Amino acid sequence: MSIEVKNIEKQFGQFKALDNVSLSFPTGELVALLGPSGCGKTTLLRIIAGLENPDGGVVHFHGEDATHVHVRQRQVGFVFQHYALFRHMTVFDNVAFGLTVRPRGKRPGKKEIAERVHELLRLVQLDWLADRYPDQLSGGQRQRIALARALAVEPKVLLLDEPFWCTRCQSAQRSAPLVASSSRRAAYHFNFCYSRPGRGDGSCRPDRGVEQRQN
Amino acid sequence: MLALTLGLSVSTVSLAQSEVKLLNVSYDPTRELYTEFNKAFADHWQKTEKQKVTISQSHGGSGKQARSVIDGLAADVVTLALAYDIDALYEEAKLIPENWQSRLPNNSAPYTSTIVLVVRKGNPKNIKDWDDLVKPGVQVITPNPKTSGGARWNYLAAWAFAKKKYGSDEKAREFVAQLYKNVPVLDSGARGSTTTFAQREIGDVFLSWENEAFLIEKEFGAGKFDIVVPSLSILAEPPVTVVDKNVEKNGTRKVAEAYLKFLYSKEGQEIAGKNFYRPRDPEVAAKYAKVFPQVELITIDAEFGGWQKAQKEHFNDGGVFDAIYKPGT
Amino acid sequence: MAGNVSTLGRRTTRINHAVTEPLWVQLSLITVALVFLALFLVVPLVAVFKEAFSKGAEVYFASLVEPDAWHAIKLTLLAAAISVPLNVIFGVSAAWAITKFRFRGKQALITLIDLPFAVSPVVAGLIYVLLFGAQGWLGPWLADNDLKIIFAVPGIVLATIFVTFPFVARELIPLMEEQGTSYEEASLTLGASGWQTFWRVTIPSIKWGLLYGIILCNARAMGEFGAVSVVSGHIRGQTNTLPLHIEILYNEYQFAASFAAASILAGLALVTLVVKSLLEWQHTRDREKAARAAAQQS
Ligand SMILES: Nc1ncnc2c1ncn2[C@@H]1O[C@H](COP(=O)(O)OP(=O)(O)O)[C@@H](O)[C@H]1O
Ligand SMILES: [Mg+2]
Repeated sequence: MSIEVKNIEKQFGQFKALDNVSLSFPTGELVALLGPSGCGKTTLLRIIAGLENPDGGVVHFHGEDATHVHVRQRQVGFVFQHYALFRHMTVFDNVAFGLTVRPRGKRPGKKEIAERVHELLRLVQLDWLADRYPDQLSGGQRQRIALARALAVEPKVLLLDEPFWCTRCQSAQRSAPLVASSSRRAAYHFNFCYSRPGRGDGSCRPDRGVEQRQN
Repeated sequence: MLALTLGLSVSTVSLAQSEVKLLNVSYDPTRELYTEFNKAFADHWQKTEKQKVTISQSHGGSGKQARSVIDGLAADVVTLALAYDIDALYEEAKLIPENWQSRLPNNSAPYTSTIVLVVRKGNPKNIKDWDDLVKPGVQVITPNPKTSGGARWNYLAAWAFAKKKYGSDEKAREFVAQLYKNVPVLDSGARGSTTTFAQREIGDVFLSWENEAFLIEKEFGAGKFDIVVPSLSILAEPPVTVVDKNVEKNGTRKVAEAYLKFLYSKEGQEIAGKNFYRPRDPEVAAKYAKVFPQVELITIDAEFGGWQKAQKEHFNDGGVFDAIYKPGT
Repeated sequence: MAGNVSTLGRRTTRINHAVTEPLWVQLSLITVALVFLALFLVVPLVAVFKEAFSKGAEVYFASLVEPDAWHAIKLTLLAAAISVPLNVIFGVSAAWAITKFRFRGKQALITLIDLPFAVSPVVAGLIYVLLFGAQGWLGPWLADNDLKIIFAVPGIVLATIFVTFPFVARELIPLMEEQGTSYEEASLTLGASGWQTFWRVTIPSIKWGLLYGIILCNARAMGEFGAVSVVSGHIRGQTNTLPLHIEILYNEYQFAASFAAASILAGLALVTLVVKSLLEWQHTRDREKAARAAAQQS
């Protein structure tokens, strides 16, 4: 699915976070948003996801105006910078969440959900942690669970906020190629943003980098 | 909330004719008296009118109770400590007519009480009258008249005694000042003083209402205290009245009036006597003469020109009490 | 991995070595805490029960089934049963609004929630007298429509709600502020509705704070004296709550009966605390089980 943002404006009080930003991401492309901290990368991702309303401009999904479509309907997978895993749920329940909240008609059966969750957990190589709680995981493990959770609902767009901020942790480095391969395999449209160009191990080099500047 | 309110008020309204409810708003020390009296009246009413009457009681400080009735506590009758408190029902809310006190005999007070001296068993300090309280080495327990209503009666009784005996206000003032020098702990309320005297066993003599004195004896064990009735004391006339506005609304005038009349009956007077209130009825009073020794009784109205005046002169800030009582001297 | 977990488990049972204070400091601090607990909590509690049973178990139970006492117990439970759920609804909504939205007058709302903490309970009671009393603003209208609020059960419930309403909100606001909105946002991006998000994400994540708020709120609802005393009218067997009943008995020198009633209040408080501890214990046990299971698999 292609994404197009046009003339996006966002203001926080007196502070203009985004000033007339226009970008387009063709279907199937892996794009990295780069720029110094505070330049508005997160804000732009949140606007694309529908978590924030722009003060001006439009967001098009696949040529259609999605500016006022509710987050729920946008089918955007979002991996938050700090993952936002549900602390009161096990890893399994976290990943299953998106499937279990579907309306009755569209909700897969219990067995199907379990299969799907385990498949995703295997994909991120953490199947053995299914019964743990998030605070019993390392930072990198959490990130991979957050990714699996986002993928579970088969989003059309995957947005990752600072996926490599935790590059110190081994596990995060392991997750980098994973992100790339899993998302490519699923032919997701894939965006991510990070403040400094990645520690290039080459395995998840974006197709394209977009440099955002502080205004 | 509204539904709850409605449910509640409906339940109070939907009473059958065969049953009637009364609310008697009274002051603190009358609990035993009215527990017994209510039973007797319910029997009496059942017998004479073939109707069941359920009487609810509310007790509290007399002034506060009057305030609650003014604010809407639906009392059919009030039985309070002072006419002053009942006057407020007329002055503040016109719940009763101005002449309420002349509607029943004896200023609408079916029983009386007075201030007595409670001493320890056997009266070791040989206390007979008010002048024994100013002797050196005698410890007197009474609450602070600035904060306690009851304590004002104690103070004024002592004053009246001294004025009569020594003949002038100046002498009375000296006497009362001397008396308060003998007070080791000035509690803020009557209840605190009772505990000080009866439980903590501080002091030689405790100034108390006659009915309370008997109650203390009953509660803390008979044979621990003696009650000394002084030669002169003060007359308290706790008055009663029907609350006209409320009985009109509740349709309870007839039973409420009968309830108060019953207080003056032989049976009612008998119950008052049994609960340590002095009966008005001469015949019943004669029967209780042993319990309540003769005493010369003065009234606040005759002696001090009424409560308003006494309050202003003696107890308000800058009054006589402030001048004579210096803590720690 | 499994070995690691077990050594960790053992170590935590000993005094933490990371604490650098010398042993005597630790011991004296612990002693001070324990002495205070004993002095101000355990001794009074024991005294209440001792006094309650001072005239024997028979007198104890007789004074509880006595109609006025029994009615006071029921009224107290009723007031708590109405005010606690209302406070939960209010507290959660208020905390939600304050922490998840940006709006005008937010500071004012927070200040207002604290109001019952700031004003004396007696004043709270008087506010209701001023509103609903016969001389109050709504008094004449209520009288014309034969509605009773003060000196009746609704007034007692209202006063209880007033004095307890900060408890749940006050407990939740810092918690929800700290958690931010990211859990809810994550839930929404995963396709959950607002309702599902509320029940499956928000409520479970504030569960412990909420429970604690409810316990405090309940304790206060059952124990409130001042505000209720003003609006009660003290009609025996009708508008006396347990705390009012206790005071009356005490003032009438019925010490054993008064402490028997007090022991019921203390007992109710102890029961709520036990329930809370049980829930907490179960919660940690579940987590430990999960951790052990995970450790074994690795
Ligand atoms: N909710 C908010 N309220 C006020 N300012 C905000 C808010 N969110 C972001 N900002 C500001 O907008 C700017 C861009 O933030 P962000 O998009 O998070 O930057 P980054 O590129 O580091 O992700 C920052 O200066 C930040 O302080
Ligand atoms: Mg950011």
